[in-house]
Amino acid sequence: MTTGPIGSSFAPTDPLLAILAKEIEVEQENQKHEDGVRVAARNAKISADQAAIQALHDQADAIRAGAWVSFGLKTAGAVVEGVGIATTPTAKGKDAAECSRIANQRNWSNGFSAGGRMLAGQAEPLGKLVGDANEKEAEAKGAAAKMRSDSADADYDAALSLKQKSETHVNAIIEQVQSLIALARQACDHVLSRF
Amino acid sequence: MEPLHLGGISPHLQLLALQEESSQTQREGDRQEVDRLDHRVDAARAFQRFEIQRAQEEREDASMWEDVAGTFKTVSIVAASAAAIAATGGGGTAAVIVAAGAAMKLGAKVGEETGIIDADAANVLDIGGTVVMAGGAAFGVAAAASGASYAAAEGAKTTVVQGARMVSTGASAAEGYASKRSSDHASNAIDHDGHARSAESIGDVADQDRDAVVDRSARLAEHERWVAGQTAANLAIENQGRTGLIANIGGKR
Repeated sequence: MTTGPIGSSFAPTDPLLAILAKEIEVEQENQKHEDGVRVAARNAKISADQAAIQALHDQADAIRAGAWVSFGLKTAGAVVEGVGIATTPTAKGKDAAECSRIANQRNWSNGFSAGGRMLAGQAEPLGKLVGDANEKEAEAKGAAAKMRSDSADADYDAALSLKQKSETHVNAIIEQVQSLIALARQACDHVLSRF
Repeated sequence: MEPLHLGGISPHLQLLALQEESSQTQREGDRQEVDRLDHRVDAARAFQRFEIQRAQEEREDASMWEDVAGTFKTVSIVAASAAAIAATGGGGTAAVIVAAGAAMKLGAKVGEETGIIDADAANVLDIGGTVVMAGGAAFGVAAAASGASYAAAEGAKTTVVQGARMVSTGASAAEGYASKRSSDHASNAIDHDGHARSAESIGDVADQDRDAVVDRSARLAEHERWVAGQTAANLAIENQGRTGLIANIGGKR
């Protein structure tokens, strides 16, 4: 409890009061320190929370990037394969030259189809490759930030608890001082009443 | 607050009155600060609940699109298998394609009834099954109509194979689109999680700040009680001293 002007200009002549006044001064210093710890913990929590939030947004962006890569490759693969299928010749050649031309065209079409399938087949793994790496990194950052935030919370609570203990201690000292002063006054009154 | 008129009372009481005035101002300031922080906490918690709800909705949408993507994947695989079977030109090709389509339709019905897939996904699977069955039937009809004509049967087979491959490719592209939509919703859900976390953080800090103000206010009130008690005790002692002194003076006279 930060009561009374003790510690600034108060200089008791009684040794016991002087010790108690010093004790209060020390406790007041402790309380100031705990206040500082609390403010620092509060700021650390804000900063850690912001980092955790940023990590969540980064995670979302990583998933989006992976999805775009996957979708782009799959669509491109489907278009290429579709072109290959659509251009596959169905007619049979009537002579050797036509057969050769159709075979050539079929080879191209088959090539397109196979290429398209390959492209589409890579869509999912490549999308995962792009998205997962960044997503895992963001997740790890988020987890670290969450730990920092929890730790700052614990620091805040610890500082608050220490301060409350210190206040209780100061209260006890003040009550002791009050009793001593009351006793001293009674003694003075007793002496004065004899005159 | 009205200005204090302190003339005529002892310096000790004047000081006490000034302290009380200062404390009242402080108390009023603390009350306003607590109100402000209370509102901030309430608003942050309300926003947090809203964002959690949004994230939940996004996750449901992501799940729905994932089901759709799964359905398209099935269609793609079935159509590709049908194309492969048709390409072999076996006698039961048409029957196999029709059976595959029927299996898709049955799968849609059973899946929907058991709750494995939702109504939209079941609908897509059902339509896919109808298309595959129609393709198989068309192949069978074309093959039968062509009679002994080998060339016509081959033409019909090629058409069915190409059609099935196109269906497979289209379904694969649709699966890619549905997967992307699912991922978009999933990432939106994470963004909403982030907003909820942000609101939670703001609420927590405001909560701590409010507790600190309440704590400061309580300590101030306790200090005031202590000062008041001390002052009352001091005044009582001073009065006793004065009374005793007056009594002594009176006795000596």
